[in-house]
Amino acid sequence: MLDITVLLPSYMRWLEYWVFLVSRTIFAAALLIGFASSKAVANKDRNEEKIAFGEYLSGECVTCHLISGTSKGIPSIVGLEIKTFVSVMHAYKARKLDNKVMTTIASALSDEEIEALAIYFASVKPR
Amino acid sequence: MKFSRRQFSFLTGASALTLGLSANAPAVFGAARPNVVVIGGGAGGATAARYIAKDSKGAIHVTLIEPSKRYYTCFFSNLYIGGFRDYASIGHSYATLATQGVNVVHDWAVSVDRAKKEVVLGSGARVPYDRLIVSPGIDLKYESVPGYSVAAAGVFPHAWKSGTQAQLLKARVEAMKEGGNFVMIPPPNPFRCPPGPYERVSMIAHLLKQKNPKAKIIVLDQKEKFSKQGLFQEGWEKHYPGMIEWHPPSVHGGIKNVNAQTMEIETDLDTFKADAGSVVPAQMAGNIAQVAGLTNEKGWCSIIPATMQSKVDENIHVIGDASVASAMPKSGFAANSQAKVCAMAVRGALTGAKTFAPRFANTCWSLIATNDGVKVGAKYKAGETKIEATEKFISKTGEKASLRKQTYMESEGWYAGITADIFG
Repeated sequence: MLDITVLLPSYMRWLEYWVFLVSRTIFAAALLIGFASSKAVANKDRNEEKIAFGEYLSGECVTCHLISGTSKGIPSIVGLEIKTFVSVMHAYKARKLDNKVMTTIASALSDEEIEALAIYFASVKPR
Repeated sequence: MKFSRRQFSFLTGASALTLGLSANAPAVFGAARPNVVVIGGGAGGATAARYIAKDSKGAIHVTLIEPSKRYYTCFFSNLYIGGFRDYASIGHSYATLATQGVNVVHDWAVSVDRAKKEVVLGSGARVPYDRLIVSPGIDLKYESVPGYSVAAAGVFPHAWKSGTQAQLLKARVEAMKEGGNFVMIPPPNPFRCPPGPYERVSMIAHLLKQKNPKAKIIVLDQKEKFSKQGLFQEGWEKHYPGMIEWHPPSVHGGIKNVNAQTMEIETDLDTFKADAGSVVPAQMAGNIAQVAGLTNEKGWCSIIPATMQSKVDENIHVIGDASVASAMPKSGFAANSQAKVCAMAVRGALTGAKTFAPRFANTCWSLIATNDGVKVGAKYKAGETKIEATEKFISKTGEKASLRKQTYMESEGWYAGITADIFG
């Protein structure tokens, strides 16, 4: 009995992301530079440690975001580029995006935790 | 190999033989593989079992005890009643868990021998544990509503554990005579799913508006206020004007009797004749928690927030509706969140796995009418004695229709996400 309009919002949510991303290119680029320099010094072990930490933290995300990478009413975050993940989470944390579930979750995450989550989700392959 | 009396007792049944040997194998072969037993395969228990099996990568033997072969979620059962979902879509199998390293046993846990660290099943088999996770959900205090009983639930379904009771409730609403009365009695605090009774009223109104628009819904509450009250009452006025009357105890004066034969519900204010109805009585932790001696004087299980360990037995963790989670409501989302904190604590204790600071979250979505969804939620931290809210949010009255529709779509996405997270 599902309405066909079920399909609309996830599309609209994506639109919200991309409109945001385009309008914040400079902010995203700054983060990217910051991230790239930190990545240069990080060795493989450190990266695995971050993935493990990110995997632990991801328990909170996969209650809503399907780990299979399927998107239904809630956008997929699996396999997302690290810089995209980081900038969107910081936008929620700064309340520049206003989904209340996400601003609440993001506000409780440190920069390190957001980075670990980004690295973990970038490492997961959509099924 | 020498058998103690306890071990020998295992040998009396074929299935018990396997359990006895696997339980003793580590001691014999020096390859310790600790046993975790989980009672209850709902949002709390199935999540805990799945995460321990997944994250321990076989280092912990996980057994899940759950009598039902198919689990019908309580969350979203209102959407089934309202006609937004079919019944099959809220049912879930344990097949994936079974193939992901969880030993799924379809039986009742009838008692817990805490001294011997064994769970006794309805079949008589005994299952040893190093850590036990108790996630039995709720049981109902039928007698808390005068005249209500297990038998009366066949007339006025509580439908508070989903399944056939939800099917019965929907059937009875659909069979109501034209212009008839539906009477809803929501439970007193604390109870499973605080916005649930009011979402149910909304979904029944949605059904009646299409099929029986002159019908009335009378809500005889056992509380003076309720979750998302402003949002629900605004929505009822907007979508179902004149259909729903809500009376708090200060108006009706208390429920004096529910008569399933005459279909009369007696209060101080009036006697209401129902053509169909739903009575949700007071609640307590699932029976096994009472039997195991884990409950407090109010019938719920006190826990240590950081690990969800029972305050009366350090080898037992209690999660979900049965626990006293303080600021966290009794919801499927909360149970799933607590299960992950518990799973990590159990792995840390049994295999020395690295543990991180516990994190808790909850969101409860409710549907008021087509594309009119609302939500309430919070982040929590483990305080010394209580789980404490750190940040909260709630939908606002007067929100744009587009936002309400997005909130509903989000709830659909959440259902897909959480059921995949629980059942694999």
